[in-house]
Amino acid sequence: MNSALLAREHGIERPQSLRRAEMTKRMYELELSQFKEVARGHHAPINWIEIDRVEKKYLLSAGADSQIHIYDIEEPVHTKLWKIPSIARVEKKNRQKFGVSSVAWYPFDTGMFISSSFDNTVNVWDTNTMTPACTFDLEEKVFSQAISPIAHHSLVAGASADPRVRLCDLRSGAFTHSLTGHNGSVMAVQWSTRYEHMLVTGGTDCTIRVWDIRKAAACIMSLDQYNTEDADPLSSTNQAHNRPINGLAFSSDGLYLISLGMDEKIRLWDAYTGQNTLVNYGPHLRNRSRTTIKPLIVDNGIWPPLIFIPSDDHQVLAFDMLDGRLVKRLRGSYGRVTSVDKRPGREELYSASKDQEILVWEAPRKDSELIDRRPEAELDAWSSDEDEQDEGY
Amino acid sequence: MNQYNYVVSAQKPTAVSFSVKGNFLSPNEQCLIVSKGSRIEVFRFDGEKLKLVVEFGIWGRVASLKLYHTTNRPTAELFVLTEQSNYCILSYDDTLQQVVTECSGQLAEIGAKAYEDGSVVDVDDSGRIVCTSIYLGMIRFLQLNTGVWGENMQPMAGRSSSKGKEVIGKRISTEVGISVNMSMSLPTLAILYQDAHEDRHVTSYVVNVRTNSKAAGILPSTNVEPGANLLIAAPPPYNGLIVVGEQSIMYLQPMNPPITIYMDATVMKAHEVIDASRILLGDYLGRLYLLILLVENQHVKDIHLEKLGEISAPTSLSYLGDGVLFMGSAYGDSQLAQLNTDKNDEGDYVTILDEMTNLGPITDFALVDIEKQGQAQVITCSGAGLDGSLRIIRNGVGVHIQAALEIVGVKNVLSLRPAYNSNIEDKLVISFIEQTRVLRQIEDELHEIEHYSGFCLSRTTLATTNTIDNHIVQITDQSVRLFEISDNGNLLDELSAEGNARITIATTNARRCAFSTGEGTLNLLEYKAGKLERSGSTKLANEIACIHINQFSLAYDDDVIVVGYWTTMRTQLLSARDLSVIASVDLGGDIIPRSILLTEFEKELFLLVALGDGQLFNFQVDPLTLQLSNQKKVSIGTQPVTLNTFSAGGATHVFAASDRPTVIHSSNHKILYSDVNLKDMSNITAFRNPSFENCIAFTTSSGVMIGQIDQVQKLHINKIPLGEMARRICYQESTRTFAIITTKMETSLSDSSKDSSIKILDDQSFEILDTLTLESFEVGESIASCSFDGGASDFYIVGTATVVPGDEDVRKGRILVLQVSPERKLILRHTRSIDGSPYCIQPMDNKLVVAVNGTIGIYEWSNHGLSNVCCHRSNTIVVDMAVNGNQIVVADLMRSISKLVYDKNSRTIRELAIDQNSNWMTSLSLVDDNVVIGAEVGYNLFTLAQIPNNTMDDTDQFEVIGEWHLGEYVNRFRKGSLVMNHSDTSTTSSSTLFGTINGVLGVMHNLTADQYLLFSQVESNIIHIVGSIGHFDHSKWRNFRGDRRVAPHRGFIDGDLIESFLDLNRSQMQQVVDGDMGGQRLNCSLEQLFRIIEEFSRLH
Repeated sequence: MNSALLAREHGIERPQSLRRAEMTKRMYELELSQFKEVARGHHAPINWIEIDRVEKKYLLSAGADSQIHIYDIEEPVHTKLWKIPSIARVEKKNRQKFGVSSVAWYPFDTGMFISSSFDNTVNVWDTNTMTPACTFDLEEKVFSQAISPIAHHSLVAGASADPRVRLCDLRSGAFTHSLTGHNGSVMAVQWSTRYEHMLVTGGTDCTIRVWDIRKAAACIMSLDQYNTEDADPLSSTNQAHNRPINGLAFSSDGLYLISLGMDEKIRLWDAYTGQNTLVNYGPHLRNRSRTTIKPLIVDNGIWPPLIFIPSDDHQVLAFDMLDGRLVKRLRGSYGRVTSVDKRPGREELYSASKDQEILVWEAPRKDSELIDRRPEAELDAWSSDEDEQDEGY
Repeated sequence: MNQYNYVVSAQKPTAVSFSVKGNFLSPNEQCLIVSKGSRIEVFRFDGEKLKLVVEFGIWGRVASLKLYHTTNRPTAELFVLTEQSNYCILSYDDTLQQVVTECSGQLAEIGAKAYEDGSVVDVDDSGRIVCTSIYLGMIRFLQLNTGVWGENMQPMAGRSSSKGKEVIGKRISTEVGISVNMSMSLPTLAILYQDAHEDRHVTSYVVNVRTNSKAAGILPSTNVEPGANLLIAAPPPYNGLIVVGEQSIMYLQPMNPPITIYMDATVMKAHEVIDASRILLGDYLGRLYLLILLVENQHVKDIHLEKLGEISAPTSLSYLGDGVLFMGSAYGDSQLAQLNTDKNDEGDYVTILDEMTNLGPITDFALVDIEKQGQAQVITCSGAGLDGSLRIIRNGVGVHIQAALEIVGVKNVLSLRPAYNSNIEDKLVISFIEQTRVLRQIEDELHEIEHYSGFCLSRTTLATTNTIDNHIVQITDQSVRLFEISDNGNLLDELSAEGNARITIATTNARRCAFSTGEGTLNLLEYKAGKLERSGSTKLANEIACIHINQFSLAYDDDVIVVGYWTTMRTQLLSARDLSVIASVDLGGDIIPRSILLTEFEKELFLLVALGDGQLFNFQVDPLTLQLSNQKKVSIGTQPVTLNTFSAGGATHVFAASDRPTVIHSSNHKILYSDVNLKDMSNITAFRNPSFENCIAFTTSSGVMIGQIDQVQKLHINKIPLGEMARRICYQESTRTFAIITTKMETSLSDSSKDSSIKILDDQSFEILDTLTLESFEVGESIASCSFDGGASDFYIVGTATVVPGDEDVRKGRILVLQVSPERKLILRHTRSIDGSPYCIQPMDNKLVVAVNGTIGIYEWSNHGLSNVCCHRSNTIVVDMAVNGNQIVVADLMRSISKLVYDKNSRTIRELAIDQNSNWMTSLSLVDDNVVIGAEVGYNLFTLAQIPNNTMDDTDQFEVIGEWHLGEYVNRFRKGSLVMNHSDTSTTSSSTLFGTINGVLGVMHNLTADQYLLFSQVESNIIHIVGSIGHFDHSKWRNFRGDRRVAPHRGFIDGDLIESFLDLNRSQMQQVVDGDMGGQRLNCSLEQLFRIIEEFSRLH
């Protein structure tokens, strides 16, 4: 650190370099937090968590118990062990009938969030009252939904047991059009972080489809895991995985897409060309459950980028995105992990699992031994015992 | 709570980041364009010297600079890319003499990851496309279209194919038609990239912008060494590609095998192509090399690397032709050098012709008022690596010596004009104790005259002047002589004092003189038609100490003689008609007045009285009644002061010669004092003629000098080279020493040890008095001067860290307690080991506050050792710290700012307030008990105010009350001012200075809410009138841009922009006031605004 600071103050290294190096190091060192835990709010498996990108401190969690909680994860000072409390939840009468499969903040303010449920609905919620402002009935159970983080449109794409991908317009409260192409349930859906009209979906038909929602023939590509040369990008033989696809995530620059298949494979796609990059992440992933899971690419200020993949064997796996090396196993859950999210701006990761718990992972706090050391002054004869009790340790 | 800051750069950026050469100004003229931070300077090169033609700021930090030619313009165009990914193309209009923005746009990508090493931009040789590589995995091309700018220039997205996986560390270079097999019209792109296994490769493409496609290039894809970091397109006709690594240089060419040569490990930082076979390279240690392509049969057969010499560590090289090379540096002074064909005495080929001062990187600075005169000088730790130095910076009027006469025993120097009505001086009268010499200006030279009219050369001259009748009067210690002005003129009259008494003191103007022969006598003579006529005499109660007669006509009926007395410390104004007392004032105290002067500043009459101890009184004088009012006292030195007037720029200035010469002038009816860059001047006189423009003659201990005087005050910088990096500096008043921590940079890539030492220097001579070398791998991190016994004895406290190579975390450090002995040597009194790196040390009320990694500890001195009182941990790494009473404000590496308080009774530290933002900090400055200004790594400043907490929690939150993008990396804030802070100017008391990596010395002042509102409006009005280079948006540029957050700027005023108002012409100024072109009319007049801005501009 000293050498890095020396280089930084002399302008030999750019200031961003030290930040990136330090953030990367801390991200690679994640461990189960000894200082924070999330109060248990759900009485059933948690299917999805998401932290808002605006104030960067509100965590939404959606459970199979139809409950949605909001946690304020901003840590007050002076706490030794902090139990993050739920600050809002949905009253029974307002809940969706069955389990909530996914939940998402409206990207531009925290006044609104969106949930999908196995009761066939996509709900738009008013955060202040925790009541549904609008409900879309997709007629089939909804596995997940997504809203574009960058777009000027306010379209929520619903992935459901219906092969059609439904687009719900938040402005009108009505469906716009449907995207047809899948053959079977659509499990996972994500908007591109780079092109506002680009949508990617993955389904039980083992395909990942790339859509341009402006086009009449909206499906522009079906990803081919074998990179077959000169093949039709929409060839019906194209498969992304050998088993259904149940998780998708874009990198923050939109150049990469990762997909999770029930073939227990992770694939990294070049989102610009649609090519499989053929990075081999090894045989570590356990993914046999036919529910949508939420992986994560952490690349903002981190190099090399990491991917965090929830695994059925009660862990979150962290891989080097580019070379496929398994970096770390985050062990601590007592159930199948379903969803991970990172707190923006902090090296702080949250994971939710079937054991009804949300775990907090953070970089180890160093120098803690220094706090515990008794100051020498206290050893002086004239230092009274009362003084010691006042110490804030 | 509000806090408004006015931020202005007293020293604009000096670190050169890029330089390009070409005929930007006119078709047949070589010029050099240099970028420094967010400024661009254009120099004309005449074969010998660089002459600044135009300089301008752009609202962005320059990320790349390229000069290229297109077919449709005789001059070159300049492509500028900023770090915010805005770009513009500039050209120069020779008739309007200004820079024209041809087009501009932006290439920013949301979410995309910028290259850590900065962007790479290249333009193909025929100026058809610009290739930009700003973000990982993306290359974007801009087509430079045929003549018409604007709409036609569409950015087009391209994407490098990722062979392997992700590419980092790419360098791009475009070339044209590297083979006849290829269409000559297509530019070729070579890419250096790294795969996931950290292997590096070079590949090439032919780019067709029109069809948005690329094809494989003619160069074979090649593996290169892992340290390869630079691609250079070999110039036509060979069209090869040079790949520069850390240990080898490879030459790639189509159809032929690559040529590789090996060298000692280094990192090449800059390059410049001289011609088809010669390329200059400069490495990070400042070694300059020449790479030669050896050609046989139109093919490059071999390459050869030759070391040319040692220069400042370069960031850019620009070959200006005829063997002259500009070497831009961000770590030392930029240089202009002659490359010789033969070795010189030192065994190299480089002769430095000129240097361009660079203060950057300023890592620390001390602001010290060594002479206790209210004006601080700044001593910066500047430069990196071998170019490290201390720079002494002070603000003042410069006197540039034009001629010096070495004579001893000079008492006074006076000057005479060739005629009464003349406005030049051609004769210099140098008075000694027992003789006088007269020098005359003949053409460019000064000649001593053996005989001059009736001038008495064998006595000392007390006063001499041209009289109204066009005669000359000379007053010696013996007599008053009046004679004709011509060389062989006659003595017209001579008058001795009564009883041939010795004249002790005299003064004269063009009409009369007054002299005294001691014991309070005062005689008055008038010059009437060639005769000296006694017009009065009196005996005053006291001995006269100094006397002066008005030199210009007064509104008052008569001439006025002002007299200062011995013993009574009284000053009187006497009428020249009857020697009656018009006004009288007692100065008080027991210091005798030594010089007295009646002067006019901006048509107001002032009386200045200088005392023997360097104090100066000034009084306003009523022009009609001559009554004195408004007494003010300032201290301008410690030695007797002599006052003299001279005129500069049409206004009267007073020169107060003493041990600290000062120029006194006025502006906006406010008397201002400016330091002079010379010391030890005792008498001055104006000496202006065509050979010596705006000059003064003055006496020093070594003789008489003639110097040209600056019209305005500015910063004067002196350099003390160290050859190693100075990291920290601290001043100790009691020992009159500076202590610095220095670190030697490793001189080869394999050697990671850093020799660090502590040095003490004399505060006047800056001579190194003693050096304490630290242990190996031990690095000095922090230094403070501290006393444990209320100031009776001072210590230097140094914090060091032991940096074990390969281990990023510091586990061991020391606190050294050092004392300067009476022999001015460093004595190590005590050491204490600690478990980390002491990044900051500050004294606090006979105790020490030490930040070890992220823990704040309080230490006290007991039993001849340091003992820990308590500690508190709430941070990751403390990068800066300020102590205010018992409060400790801490800037954390990544957790913004927090405030702690030490409780004396319980001897504990408690957290008072925190900022929840996750700013990555560089430094901080306390404004007052509640307000803190912080600087963070994204080049932003922000202001925090502590707001009392309403909840039960006892820790307050900081509220962000100001945010602003400075565009500079601030390493250090220090309270103080560069301008003399005299008792009558209170506005500068709250100013803060800061030093940045680019060498900016900035000044920050508090503003009132009214001033803030006015200046905000002025900012926007100026932009409406003047526009911006590159059409960049000033408001966007000044917005706070964090890692993930952009916030509108507030609470800060861009002083550089405000002060650009003073450079506008009058009609533009009026437009600013009127709010033309879409601004808003200001609530003040042009004159008022001008005065306000001028006032601010004088604060630095």
